[in-house]
Amino acid sequence: MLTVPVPPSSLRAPELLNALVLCSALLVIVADRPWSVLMFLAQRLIVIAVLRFLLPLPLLVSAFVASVASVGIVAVSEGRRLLAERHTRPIPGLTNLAFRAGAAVLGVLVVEGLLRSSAVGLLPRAAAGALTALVVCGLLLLALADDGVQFGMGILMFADAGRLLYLSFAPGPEVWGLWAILDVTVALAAAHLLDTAGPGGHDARRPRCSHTG
Amino acid sequence: MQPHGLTLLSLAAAGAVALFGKRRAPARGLGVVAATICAWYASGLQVDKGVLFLGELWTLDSPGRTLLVFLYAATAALFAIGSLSAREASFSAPLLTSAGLLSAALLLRPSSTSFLVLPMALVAVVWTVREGTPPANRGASLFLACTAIPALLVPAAFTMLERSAMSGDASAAPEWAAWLLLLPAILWLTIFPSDGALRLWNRDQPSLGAAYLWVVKDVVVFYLLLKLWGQHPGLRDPAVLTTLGAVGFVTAVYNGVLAAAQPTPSAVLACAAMSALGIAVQGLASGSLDGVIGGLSMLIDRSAAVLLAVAALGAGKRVGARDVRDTSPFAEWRKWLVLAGFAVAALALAGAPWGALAGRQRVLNALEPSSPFLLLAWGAGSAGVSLGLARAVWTMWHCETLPSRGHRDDLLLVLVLGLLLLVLWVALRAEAMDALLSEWVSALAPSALATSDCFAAAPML
Repeated sequence: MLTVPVPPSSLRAPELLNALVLCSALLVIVADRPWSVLMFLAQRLIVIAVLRFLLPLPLLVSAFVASVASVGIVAVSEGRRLLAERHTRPIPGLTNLAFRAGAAVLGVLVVEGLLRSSAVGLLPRAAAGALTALVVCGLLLLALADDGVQFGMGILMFADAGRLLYLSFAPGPEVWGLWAILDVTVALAAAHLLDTAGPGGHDARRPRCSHTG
Repeated sequence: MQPHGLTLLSLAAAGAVALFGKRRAPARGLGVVAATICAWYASGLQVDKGVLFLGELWTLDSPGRTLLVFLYAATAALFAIGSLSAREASFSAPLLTSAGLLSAALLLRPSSTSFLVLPMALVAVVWTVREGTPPANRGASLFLACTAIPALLVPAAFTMLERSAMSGDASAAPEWAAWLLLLPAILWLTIFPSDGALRLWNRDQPSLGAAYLWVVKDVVVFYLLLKLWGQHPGLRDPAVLTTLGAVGFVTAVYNGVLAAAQPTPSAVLACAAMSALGIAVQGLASGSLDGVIGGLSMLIDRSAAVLLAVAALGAGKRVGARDVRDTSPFAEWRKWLVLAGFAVAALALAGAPWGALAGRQRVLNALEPSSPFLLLAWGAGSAGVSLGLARAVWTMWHCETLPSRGHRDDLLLVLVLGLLLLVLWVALRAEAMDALLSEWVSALAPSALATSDCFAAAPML
């Protein structure tokens, strides 16, 4: 039978859990706005706050630096696009906002439902809540993503879920180091995809023809 | 020569190419030269001599060395094709970075570390996406998600394996670990449902990033899985392998049939490549020596065919299509050479006698040699690819050409001819290839396939 060690008590803090769920849901709603990066930063800082009592200082510092660096990379990329398209960029409509809000509400309900069921019974409630919120909202973000940065933010939410999960498994420092490098690599790749998406992102008109480069 | 030196050399070369990235011509030349030097370096590495570097043991076995040489030689060939056909040189640095990281994954023993380096190598390929190709951008975004997210499961699986080895209780942990590693295996092989990412990536134009993944990545993932199974035989859980085989079957048939409806030759190539991969995965999942050798044989044929198809598509726009202004006596021959190159490559992927037919036969023997249904399903996929090919050739024939660039286009045609001969030569040497692969697999994982009887009870697709 699979046994998972119980994480220390700071994961039980209800305030952090509520803030994380709220931030993740808001991120799903505003992900197509440039200032969604601020929400993303807040969400990642909450995860670091959860980790602060549980990780040795060097590992905590590496996780913090990777988190902030990846948000910084995304922010710079978003800023560049904002400057380049300040006159031409379409403003997302209210219908889109309402749709995203509906998806976020659905996500919160799914998290609540999963917590009340026995599906995540192997973990304590707070840890399970944080993990479920990150995974469900990350999936919603990926499902609604229409540019590289939104994909990147969705993937990095999974990375944060992984950080919480692996507190239980206590992997070695090399795994935490590689995790941090992968974090930054994903953010850089997402920024590159945003840079190369061109005006209108993925929905831009396809080239008229051609099967060759 | 130290094993980790290869990774460092490759990463340093990627840095140098990135520095010269603004100047196109040096970057193109540097990419080919760097990959060739890395292939030469890999061929000189000593086998079974471990070195500690960054706290990890870097070591190499004989099959690993062969694979490293193949990795860099294939990358050099791709660089040559890209240099002669692409408009930009932005592909060299990311692909060299990826090759360096893949070499690291091969040189480290199978562990959390090597299986976390692998997704990094795959993520690096995303940098080959160029501006102005929205479907490629969307496909690469999906690929990024499919590549990075499964990394979440890797440390859990290896922690379970290590704890089970330490406690001596090997009852359930390997089974759990096998299920945990199934999703990463499916997504890193980009088989169904993640196959759509590469199809999208390659839809409008032949992308060197997607081609690199088909030519190099899949062989590396096969090798890592075989090595891991050799080290942890408990991971070869029959139910897990059956699931992997079923996903391979869906990939093979779905992509083959879908090829008939593709609007561009690049998309037909993508579907054909994914369809062939699906059958190779079925061979791998069969767990028998015949199946694994058949699958690997298909992958080698597929690599050569994809290189040929990408070169032909690169040449097609310049010299292969109908050009009424070109009155030279060689114009017709150029056109026919390009079209023949693409057709031979696509048919090789669909299972023509000069392609993956021998590999398919071995995989079939390992699965259900007496049942006609599997053959019919694969045949439907091949028919789809053939229909898509007919449509693609028609499109290429009637597409307008761009102005010729002189000797550069002639060199590309020479490359197409060379790759065409390579595909035919590999087909003629099918028996020698089988013997080579048998030796390769036996050296790689002697214990991984010795107990193939344990899969006999599991239903295989």
